[in-house]
Amino acid sequence: MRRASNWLLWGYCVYLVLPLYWLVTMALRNNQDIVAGLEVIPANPTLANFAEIFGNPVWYQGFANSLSYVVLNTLISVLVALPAAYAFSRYRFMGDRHLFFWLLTNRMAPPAVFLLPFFQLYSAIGLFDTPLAVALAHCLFTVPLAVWILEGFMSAVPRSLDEMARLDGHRLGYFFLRIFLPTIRGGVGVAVFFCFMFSWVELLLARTLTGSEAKPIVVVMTRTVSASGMDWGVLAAAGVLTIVPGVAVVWFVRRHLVKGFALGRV
Amino acid sequence: MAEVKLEGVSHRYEGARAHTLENLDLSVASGGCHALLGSSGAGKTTLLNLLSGLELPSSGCILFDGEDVSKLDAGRRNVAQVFQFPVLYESLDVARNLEFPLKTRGMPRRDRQARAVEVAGRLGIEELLGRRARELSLFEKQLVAIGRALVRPDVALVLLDEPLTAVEPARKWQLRRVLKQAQQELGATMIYVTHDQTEALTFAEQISVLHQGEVVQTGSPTDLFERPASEYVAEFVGSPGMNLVPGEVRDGSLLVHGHALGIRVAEAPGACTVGFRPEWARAISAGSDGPGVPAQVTDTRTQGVRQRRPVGVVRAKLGEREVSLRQALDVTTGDAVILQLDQLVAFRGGAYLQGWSRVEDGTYARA
Repeated sequence: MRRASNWLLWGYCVYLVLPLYWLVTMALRNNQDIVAGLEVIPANPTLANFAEIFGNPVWYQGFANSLSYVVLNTLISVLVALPAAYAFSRYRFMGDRHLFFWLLTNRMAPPAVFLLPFFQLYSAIGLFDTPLAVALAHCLFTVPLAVWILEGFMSAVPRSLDEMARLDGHRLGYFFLRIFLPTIRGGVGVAVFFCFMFSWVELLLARTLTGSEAKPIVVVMTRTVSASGMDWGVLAAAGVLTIVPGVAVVWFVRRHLVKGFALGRV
Repeated sequence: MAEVKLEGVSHRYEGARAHTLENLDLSVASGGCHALLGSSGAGKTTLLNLLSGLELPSSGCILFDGEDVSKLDAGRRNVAQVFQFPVLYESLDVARNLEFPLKTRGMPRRDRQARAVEVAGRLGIEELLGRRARELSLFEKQLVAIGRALVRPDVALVLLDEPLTAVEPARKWQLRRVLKQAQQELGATMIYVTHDQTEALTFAEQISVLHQGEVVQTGSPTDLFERPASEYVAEFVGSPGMNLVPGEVRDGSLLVHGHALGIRVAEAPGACTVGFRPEWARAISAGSDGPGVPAQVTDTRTQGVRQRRPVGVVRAKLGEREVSLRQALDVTTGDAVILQLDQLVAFRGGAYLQGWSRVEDGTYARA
């Protein structure tokens, strides 16, 4: 029984890792080798594919574009969500519960629904094809998410901390930045992670709201069919590099993520 | 240290229909230790928030040393509070936590450090000064929280909101002693809020019993035991509380459950309630001498042994009412007994009327 379940577990792990492994080995081979046949361990490993990406402006510009709107989106989302979540967590006001629930229901609409209004609006005001356009569009989804996550973490902090700070004579701003924020920094990490990941993998809005100037990496990857056929190796290398930021963010917030799951807010 | 006075303070939360506190008067001497005792929902937390300034009263005055602070915000009242669960700035070490309230009041760095060390010494936590707040046990955290409250040399008032709740029972005594010692040495005015009467009775010199938003009695622990102002206080204070049985004044004498004990009273005739504490009465086998009230034992509970005889609580039925008596267990369930009362009080209309105690020749004198 024990053995069987062990095998099952290992089998599942292989199943999960296999596509990743394949992507990485493809990125380390040239096109001839890739097309030639099955090769578990690359015979002639090469970094030429990565060199191509870091040397070709179309590629690295794509990465830069993606990163700029993702970072912009994460910053805006968290900065907006922090005071909002604090208000939901600490104050009672008219319609607070309904508003809070409505934030969540916002996430139920598929991004495609908003394509047309965003496209028309941004074209009209000259925002089309800028990182800010994509960042703002993504905010529609990431702000409610961040508010929801942060509210959970904030409500886990006893209200007496706020009261003690008031008795100590701190103003709200000082308390929030110097005492409260360090207390919930785990929650901020989790919120950053989810905003970042949403924005990083979202394709539809990013593709529609950009032209040639702010073209994100995922879009560059879908347009690599050239006259000489498909450039498999470079494509795989781009895929590997696309995964890296996500892995890095997970690495930084892995401990707080567990707490977020425990609070039921992630 | 300040003398604290509340004059006609009422508070109603926004949107609430009824007042949480109504027309409340309270006076705490400078350097005194005062407890607020009440069951949950009596308005203890509201009163605490009014004192600290987290809430402002709807009407009435709060005076610190004669100065009206009713409209002052929490930060400007110079009040410190110890919460039910210890609250510290978790990312700072203990010394910095202690210094923090001084920093916001602009005390120079060197004085701050000296004061933090002094207060830590008073509480016996010098060895914790370098530790991180989040590494401490609950008990140590609460000690530091108390230190934080006492650290400001000019603090007007220290509020304690059930500070022993989170502490394990075995260490409650220790914390209470440390707290009381520090209070006496530093001369702080303290208001201690609790629903636990043992804590209130052992900690404070003066106790105010709060009930439904009003102070129903203020007095020393002895006052609360001997002369409860109302039937509510009589039942609420003590464990078990005071036994209350129906009584009557007829022809100038007091009848307890229809039996005369030879007590002459000058009150107008009519029904009243007679109360006696479990320690004030004794059930003895029927047929013994002396005036008493007949009853029947329904239950006995052993709580210990004294001079090789079991002692505990005897429950006895007196007509409809059941009463508790703390005594030697020389009677058993089902016995017909008579209750001899050493001391008793009478209430009329819920309020205290008079008290008597038995003198040597078996007659009763007014207490």
